[in-house]
Amino acid sequence: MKLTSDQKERYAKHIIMKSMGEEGQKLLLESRVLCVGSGGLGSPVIQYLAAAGIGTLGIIDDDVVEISNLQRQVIHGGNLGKPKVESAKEFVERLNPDVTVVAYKMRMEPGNVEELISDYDVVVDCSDNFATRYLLNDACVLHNKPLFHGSIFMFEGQVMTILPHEGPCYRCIFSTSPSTDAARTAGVMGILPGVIGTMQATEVVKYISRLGKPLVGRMIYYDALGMRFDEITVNKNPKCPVCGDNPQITSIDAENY
Amino acid sequence: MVMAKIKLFANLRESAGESEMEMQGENVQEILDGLLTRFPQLQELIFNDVEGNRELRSYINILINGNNILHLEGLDTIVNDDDEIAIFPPVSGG
Repeated sequence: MKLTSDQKERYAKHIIMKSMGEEGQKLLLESRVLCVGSGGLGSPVIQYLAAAGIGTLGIIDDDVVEISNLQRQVIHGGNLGKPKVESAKEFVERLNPDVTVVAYKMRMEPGNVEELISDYDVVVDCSDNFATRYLLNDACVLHNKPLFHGSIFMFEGQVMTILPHEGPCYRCIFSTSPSTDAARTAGVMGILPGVIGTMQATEVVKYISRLGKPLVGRMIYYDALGMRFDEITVNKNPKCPVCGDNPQITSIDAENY
Repeated sequence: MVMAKIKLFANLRESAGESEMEMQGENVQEILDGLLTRFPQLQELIFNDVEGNRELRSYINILINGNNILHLEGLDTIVNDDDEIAIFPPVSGG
């Protein structure tokens, strides 16, 4: 592809950096990213990936915009009652016409996850429950798809980049899912997903434009109250149920989620 | 006596009502025993009860100075003065 003169202007601050240049920008414009969830984490991820000029942005979510979302879901203003994927699509189209949005108003489930991720280069996990997180991890490991993890709880968040088989996956660290989702009822500081989501988006842009060092084998643990970032070294677990030496999970089976 | 610093995260922090504390013990097991004596409500968040035996829940991570005890000596890992022990679960919010 060749950048148009409008694109050269729009992305001038990217292009002027030698390490990114026109080549890096073209990689972004040719890329396909699937964002799972368009809520707290999804809002900043969608916002910044759209601004960066990701060519195709798939967005999957089955929720509609509620007033209690707007304390943190900053892309849905004025769209109460609308499906979040439509609201997100409107936002992106206003911000950057270079981006093609594919909106999926549905839940990600064992029956559709493999087909959905197969159309994309990378997947961003902005979901809000353990079932979807474990499902996405397993599908991405089985299909060797980079997965950009972010999750939040009250004043704290976790970020890591999963390059299947190269580094540890989610199950290497948290092999099975807790039976309860404490985050469901705990509340969240509205700015927190902004911090975590922009770190996920940073990792996506770096990966696609082949820049820097990915957050692989490390997890960033952010604590807003202490204003601390802890970097935790995480290793591949040989006993990991999905990417270990003798995996028990070798296909997506609804019983596991 | 060895004195280590404990850091709790996410719902463990919420349940204990404190995020950082100091605890005495020669190894991770002793440190955890002290922690659970002080905060008995953490017992079921950190351990499974398997036929009367305590087993660390598979999604709970315990790190000493950033290293997972799974890759050290597990609960028998020796603790030194001023070590920082972090205990964290996964979180699901998005």
